[in-house]
Amino acid sequence: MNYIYLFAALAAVTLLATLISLRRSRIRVEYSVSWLVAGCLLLGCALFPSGLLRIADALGLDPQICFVVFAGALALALLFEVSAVVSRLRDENVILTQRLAILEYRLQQLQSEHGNQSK
Amino acid sequence: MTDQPRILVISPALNEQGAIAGVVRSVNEAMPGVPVLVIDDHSTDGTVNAAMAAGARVLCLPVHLGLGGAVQAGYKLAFESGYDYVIRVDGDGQHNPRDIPRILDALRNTGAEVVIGSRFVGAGGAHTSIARSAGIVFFRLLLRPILGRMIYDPTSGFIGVNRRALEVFAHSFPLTYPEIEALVVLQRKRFRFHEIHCVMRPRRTGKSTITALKSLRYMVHVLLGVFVNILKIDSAPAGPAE
Repeated sequence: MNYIYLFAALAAVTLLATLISLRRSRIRVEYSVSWLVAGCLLLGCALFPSGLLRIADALGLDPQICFVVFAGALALALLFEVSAVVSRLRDENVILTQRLAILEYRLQQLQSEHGNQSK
Repeated sequence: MTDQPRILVISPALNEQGAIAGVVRSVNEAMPGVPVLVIDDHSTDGTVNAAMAAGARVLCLPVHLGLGGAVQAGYKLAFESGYDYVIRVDGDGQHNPRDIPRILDALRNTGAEVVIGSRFVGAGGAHTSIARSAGIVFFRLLLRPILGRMIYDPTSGFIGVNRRALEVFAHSFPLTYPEIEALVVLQRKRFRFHEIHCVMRPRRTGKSTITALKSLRYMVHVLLGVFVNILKIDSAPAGPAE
């Protein structure tokens, strides 16, 4: 049952890394929730593998393959969430950049008009 | 008080130091009194100074956004400033500003919200590579059923829009390869397109943003973008008033 130990190690690394990152403010609380949930799910599977074994049995899958598929699905879900966050940040970055450029442009126009009026 | 429509020519530019001054001067000759707004997409050469020296207003982006982000910044500024018509001319000098009055006439007289300067309507307008021509034919055929009509030059960046289309573009504009996706955005609003023949000149200086190596990525990206725009839930503010 080596894969159970692998799950336990993965869970420990995920939870520890997330908690340390939170403590050092390298990750925001709202983005840590998914990682903590993923770590807890991995830990749950390692401590109580019977649930996943039952699912593997019902699907007719080898238990080890079922564990790998579960871990892979978890990783994909996390990556998807990261992509969604990055996409949103990219959109917000574009809007902010455009707004900053427009405001700078308007400020320069105002300064130019003010300079002309002063003369 | 006069009720003349307000017209703005915008020109996105990235490292076009060698061409931008000529573009600005050509626009000023073709359209005296019409302001030219160069949108500098964080160039590392002297594009900004060259444009200013030639008499253009310059909107400087503090970071590189890509073509779509730069063009949309210009559309936003134009919309907020109350312009009625905006003509986009690329900063590489390939578009002939003498065609701008014809684009404006078409915008005023055809009822179309968007007028495209096309290399392929009429004869003698195409100065483009075989690979790009093949890509244009591909997208022309792809867009035919989506747009409900043939657009002969869907990758043309020589585009005039009226205020209705300007409002849509100010709120929603594709960021990376905007021309083709923008047509789908407008189609969703039931806007009309019109193409007029324009002669494109070969690029004199600088480098095209679409190189041979990027062509495949371009095709995949635009294909995906077209279908995403078809399926997209419209989160932009309400469309332009009738």
